[in-house]
Amino acid sequence: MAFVVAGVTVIVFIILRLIPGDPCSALHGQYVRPETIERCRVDQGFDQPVWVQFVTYLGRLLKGDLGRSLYYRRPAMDVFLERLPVTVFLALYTIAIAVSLSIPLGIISATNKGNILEAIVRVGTSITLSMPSFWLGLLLMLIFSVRLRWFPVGGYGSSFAEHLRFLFLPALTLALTIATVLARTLRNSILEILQSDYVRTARAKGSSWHRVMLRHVLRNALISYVTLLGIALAWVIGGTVVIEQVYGVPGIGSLLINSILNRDYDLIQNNILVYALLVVVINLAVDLTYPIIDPRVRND
Amino acid sequence: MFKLRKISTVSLILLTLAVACQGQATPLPRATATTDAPPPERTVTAVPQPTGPNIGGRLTMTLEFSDITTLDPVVPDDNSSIWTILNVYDQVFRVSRDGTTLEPDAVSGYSVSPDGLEYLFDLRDGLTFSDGAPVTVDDVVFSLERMLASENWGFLFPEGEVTVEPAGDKSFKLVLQSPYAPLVNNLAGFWSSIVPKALVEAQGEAFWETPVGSGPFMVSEWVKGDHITLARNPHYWEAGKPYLDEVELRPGSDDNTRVLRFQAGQLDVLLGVPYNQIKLLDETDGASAGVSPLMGALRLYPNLAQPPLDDLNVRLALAYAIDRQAIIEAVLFGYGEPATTALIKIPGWWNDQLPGFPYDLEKAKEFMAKSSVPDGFELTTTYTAGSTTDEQIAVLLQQQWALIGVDLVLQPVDIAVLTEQFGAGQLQLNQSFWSSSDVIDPAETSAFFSCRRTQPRQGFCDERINGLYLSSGTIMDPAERKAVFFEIQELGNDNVYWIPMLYVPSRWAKWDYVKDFELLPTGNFRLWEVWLDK
Repeated sequence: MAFVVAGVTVIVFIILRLIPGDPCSALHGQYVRPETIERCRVDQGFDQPVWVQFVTYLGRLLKGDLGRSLYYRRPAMDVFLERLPVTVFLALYTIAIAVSLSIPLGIISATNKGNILEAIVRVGTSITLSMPSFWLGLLLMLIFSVRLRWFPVGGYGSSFAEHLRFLFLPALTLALTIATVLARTLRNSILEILQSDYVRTARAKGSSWHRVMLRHVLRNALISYVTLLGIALAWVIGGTVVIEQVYGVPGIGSLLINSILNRDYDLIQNNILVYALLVVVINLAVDLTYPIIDPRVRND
Repeated sequence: MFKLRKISTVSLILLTLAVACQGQATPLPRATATTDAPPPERTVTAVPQPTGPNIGGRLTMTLEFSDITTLDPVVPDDNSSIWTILNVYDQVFRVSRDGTTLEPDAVSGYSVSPDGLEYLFDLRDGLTFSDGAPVTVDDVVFSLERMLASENWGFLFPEGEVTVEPAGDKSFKLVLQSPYAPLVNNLAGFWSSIVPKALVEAQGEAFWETPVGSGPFMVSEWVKGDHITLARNPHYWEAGKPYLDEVELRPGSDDNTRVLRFQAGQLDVLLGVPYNQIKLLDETDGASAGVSPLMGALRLYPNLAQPPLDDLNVRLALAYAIDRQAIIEAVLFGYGEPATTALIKIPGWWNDQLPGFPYDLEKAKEFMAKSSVPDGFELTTTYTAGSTTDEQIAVLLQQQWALIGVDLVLQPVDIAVLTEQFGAGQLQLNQSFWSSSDVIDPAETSAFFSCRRTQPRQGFCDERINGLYLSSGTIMDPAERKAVFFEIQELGNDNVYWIPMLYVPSRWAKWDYVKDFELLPTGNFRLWEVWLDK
């Protein structure tokens, strides 16, 4: 984990200094005197060689100083922490909806192989998967916000209940995409497991179909499902960047885009560092769930 | 029998309900007079409808495209922050509703010494911050000193030549080393907002998270990146205002999202309506959409340090080959007008006598034939990536200039790159600096005339224009000063240092129950005058 974090830090630092675009010019705009921009560059150390800037940055990092947002004129971590809960909420909400959709869809699709229900699920998931998320988001807004007025268009709200309401459509937009993949994976796993000897044995012993599905089939099918869910969660964290822009959700995704456009170095650095950490933590969490689902892994 | 009674009771109840639910009650028969005299004529007098502003209500509207970065008035250059600041603080002066004059805001009046070096201002009586503390002269002096020392907006006043001093309990003065004509006008900008000295000094940066001002509204909630809620300032000096209880300002986002929000009824007012949506929203039942005059313009900045743009004939050819009206029709859907000079249309300062560069392809070809590149050349135009308007304009320029042999290469870059490269003189043609003004004096937006800016950015220094610009601040006679700006624009056109493109309006949409909402030519709005008829 430390290597990943260190690697990400170094790579992002170097790339930011290499891409064109000066933070001081972006900060002060076109009206100020040129000397003001030059003074800013000196104050911020941007006139120094890249390696000197990196050493200075590391020195600050070791002291726990995560820098200052030039654009917002506040400590970068403060700006970041204001927005982080929004994205975490959105990501977890997305996963909750995705799981709620994908498990029933996967089961229905697997247990109705060859009939109209399976066809509907298959075609529906194909259509959803082929839609770009920003387009799907606009479509959902048009139908559910503008026409039906069931949900607001974008935003975050002020209370927990408002968060659930405001973020439903953004979460649904993301969830629909990953739910289709999860449902298909679950379907394939279930179909494979249904051919297993132990399932046939269980049925032969007189277990009900319901009991066989829950105790034998689903638990085994969930192993690959959970693996994919972990990858999906990591994808969702990154996918919020587009959705937050489309829906105007004030999370770290939209913050990242704005900070890149403004060349707000410290904010970008913090943002990407946390993204990397989240992915690592999610992978770890996924690994930790395996023993819970499958005791054989625990025994191993 | 019992059953019949039950049915009758139910029927009676149902009948009663049916009568009660009727939209119009059946009139009871009137008692008739016992005499044979005709019944008196009835005159029906209409119940007078309430007129004038309704007090109360909550307005929700968008701001500009970016988030509010800060409420420190001497810092921002983004409109989201600026427009919020203008409604939270008082400034020394403010621009009138029609954008033609100044109104006293935090001051009640002022006088100028005969030599023009000392301005004495009287602080308005009863001026109070939203926390109930009175606004004092010390607060004003502190605020203006901060502004003069600020990096972003101090340039509007002669550097190091202006001091602010108290002049009693109710007055303060600005003392100058030499006369400065735009002084009073420049005190109408958001940068001259009055802030409480004691609180700013005590709280430092934390103050700007929940600032206290004496303006019509105060910050009651700020969810960063999502919205800021302003509540009525109960101590506001203008009696009876603001009419609204609360205003929710939402930073803008994606164009489509903002329009959908408006259509879904989540916004009462929408700013920055995409050009192609104005008609659609105007045709929506219960809503209006349109444009308002704005002191805003787009101009092209050729880099004279990069041949063949140093050739006047080339620049003339480029200027005359642009069919600006076609661009307005295609890109701005007819909302806008061709620009004729490099200065934005500030009333009284914009040279309306100049014809500009009306589209004339033959003339453009003649200039190209006389130029150093009669067979044409390759030119790169740089504009803001992600801006549909800028890209569409670039594509049309590419088509129009192809007719005179110019091969225009389109180079979209993000704004940080554009600003840096333009400042370093690395662009051949900058297509993407839209210009506007926060005050009704050209001082703020005419700095680009000076050699301090033209030399590094565009590779030239016109000493005559530079001299005129630098002297414009010291000329106190309005007619003489106006003549200076007129000459600058004429020289600018004669030499085609800047290619005027378009004058653009503000674009808005609102529901019809929103009353007295207007966009000023400076682009901002006076929320303390807005009320809701619902």
